[in-house]
Amino acid sequence: MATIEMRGVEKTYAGKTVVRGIDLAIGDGQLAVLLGPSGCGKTTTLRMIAGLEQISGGELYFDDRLMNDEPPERRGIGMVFQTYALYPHMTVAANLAFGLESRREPGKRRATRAAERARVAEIARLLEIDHVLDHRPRELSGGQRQRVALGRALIREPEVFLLDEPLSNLDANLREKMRMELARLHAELPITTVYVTHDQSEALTLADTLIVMNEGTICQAASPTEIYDRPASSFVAGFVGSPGMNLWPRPAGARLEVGSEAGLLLPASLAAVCAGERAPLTLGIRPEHLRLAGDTSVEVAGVRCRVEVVENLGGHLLVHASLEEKGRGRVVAKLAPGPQLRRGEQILLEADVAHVHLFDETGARRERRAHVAAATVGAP
Amino acid sequence: MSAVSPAASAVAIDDVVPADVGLRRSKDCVARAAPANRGRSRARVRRLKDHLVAYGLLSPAIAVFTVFFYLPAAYLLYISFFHWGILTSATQYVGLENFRRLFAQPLFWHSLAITGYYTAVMIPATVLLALGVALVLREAVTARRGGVWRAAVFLPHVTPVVATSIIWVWIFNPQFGLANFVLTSLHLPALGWLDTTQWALPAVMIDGLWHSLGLYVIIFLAGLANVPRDLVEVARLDGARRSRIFRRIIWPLLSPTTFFIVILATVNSWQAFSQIYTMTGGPHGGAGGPAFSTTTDALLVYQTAFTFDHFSLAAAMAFVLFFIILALTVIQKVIANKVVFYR
Repeated sequence: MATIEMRGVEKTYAGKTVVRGIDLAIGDGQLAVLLGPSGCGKTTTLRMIAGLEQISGGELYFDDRLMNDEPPERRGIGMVFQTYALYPHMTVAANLAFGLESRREPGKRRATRAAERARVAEIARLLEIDHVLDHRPRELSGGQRQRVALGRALIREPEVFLLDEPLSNLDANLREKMRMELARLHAELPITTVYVTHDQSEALTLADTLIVMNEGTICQAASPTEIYDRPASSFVAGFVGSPGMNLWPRPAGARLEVGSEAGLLLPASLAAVCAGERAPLTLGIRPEHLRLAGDTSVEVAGVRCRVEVVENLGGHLLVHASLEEKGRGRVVAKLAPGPQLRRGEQILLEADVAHVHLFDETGARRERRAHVAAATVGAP
Repeated sequence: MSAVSPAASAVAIDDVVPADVGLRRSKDCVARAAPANRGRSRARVRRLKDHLVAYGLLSPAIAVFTVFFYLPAAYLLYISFFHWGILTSATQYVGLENFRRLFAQPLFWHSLAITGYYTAVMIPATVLLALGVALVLREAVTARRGGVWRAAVFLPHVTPVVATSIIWVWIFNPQFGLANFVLTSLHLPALGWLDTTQWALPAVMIDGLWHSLGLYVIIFLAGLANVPRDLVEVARLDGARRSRIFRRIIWPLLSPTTFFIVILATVNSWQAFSQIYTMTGGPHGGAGGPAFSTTTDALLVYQTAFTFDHFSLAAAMAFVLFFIILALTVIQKVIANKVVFYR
């Protein structure tokens, strides 16, 4: 196993920088997930780790070994591609054995062949594909192909395991099942793993460290819980979570007070913070932290809105509503089933102040608690 | 519902149920059978319409092929059973006499041997050279300049064979030609090229290879573009060297392209004519020389028909040539079914 460290890593194509100065450290045996929208540079970053793309700037280390100029075959990497990249003209057994055969030492062929066969059988048993060893990839189901691709990457006992959107070609049920299989596999074989995906549920369930990327930079790298509960920027807040966080930008200098006609009802402490800020500010509340207004003893922030669509997802309702004031955007609330809401109905949604997030004009997180305290202290 | 007619159904049911009930039930049966029959006939009409549309769309192509290929081929077979000449109006049915004469002719067997040799050299040379150039073009040439190089390689193929062959005649000129200049510059002995029985066929082969190479390179480039990049990358990660990646991954996945090129090269080689005719004699006579060393089947067919006015014999010869090419293609197809991998 190995640690991975990236220091100011960049990738430039024909003068255009697609990965900008990435600094990242992934611990030994950790599973790090690169999450971000399409084109954010996550696959390019993975390919630079693999050695399939030349690094334009910065340094990449496995443990303390500089890897920049090391060819892919000498990096000790196993990789699973989005397309699985199984050799279509070979059987499953031949696919699995290819990597072992390619690294055979000359002169020890006979001895190594038996060991290779044993290793193929072992990995096939681990991945439950031992009954399809004589089949060709086209004769396999999507899940079986996925397992063969995993097996081929793992059979050489790599130091670093790279997965590029490995579940994206599977249907929803199989994806969920394979996600659990991957988690089990990582628990059994704790290889340092970098996993690229744009699927948040995969990222949140699998990651030890979740790395959110956008436009070639790392927006936040932390545990999934930290990222979900304390997003470092409005981008992370909007991207992570399904649906993403409700974000309401407040223009610079605009007043936003308790009970204002703006549609957002802020408690006194928060309104004081907002009123004191001259720069633009964005307020964020996660859909699951909104509830229909009722008697409550805690200090709440409220959203007055009109119901547009109600999605009944069995376990919960997703209520899509528009803020009453025109041009103020929309709100999504995740509510427990029960209330019979009709289109056009006016409702008041409220959230615990503890779950209200603030972001400054650059999109960076503002530590609300400090401001609330300051505002409280400074309030008349 | 079975294929039993409504009337038959009614009779069968009347036999086993009382008359009053039977009448009602047989009517029900007829009533049920009628829509099914109508449905079947509607389906037949729909199928017929589909076929008519398909044949209508195919008819221009069928007409062109019939007028320019099938009818001449049938006529060729027809005249091979006659004594027939373009300058003589009299025709006489001779049965298989032309075929008997053909097989008794040593020159025919000699031309078969020359054509076989030409094909046997040209196929591997074509495949190896075209694949090599395609790999170099893909690997070494940048995307921006790739188009220029591809065009440069393809250019000979779109120039007229006769024109380029005249240039090659000059290149192979024993006194002033470029070929001997290069050889003597390398301190190698000058060759007689087209004037010698030993080197005339290789000279013609070089021209044929040069002229057709561009087409095969482009086909190989298309085949290489179809080999998924992921497979090559994963093989690199698996630790395979370039030679192993080519041998175990690229070459098997290129097998359909290679098979197609082998078929194309075989057919073209068995039909080689223009460059041989131009380089070894042309309209002034003597084509196929010296001493018949470059007389291929196609050239012999031409000379038999237009030089010696034995049209019916040439027709028989062309027909034999057709069956040889067909047989070779079938053999290649049978072999290909075992070695070619289709994804």
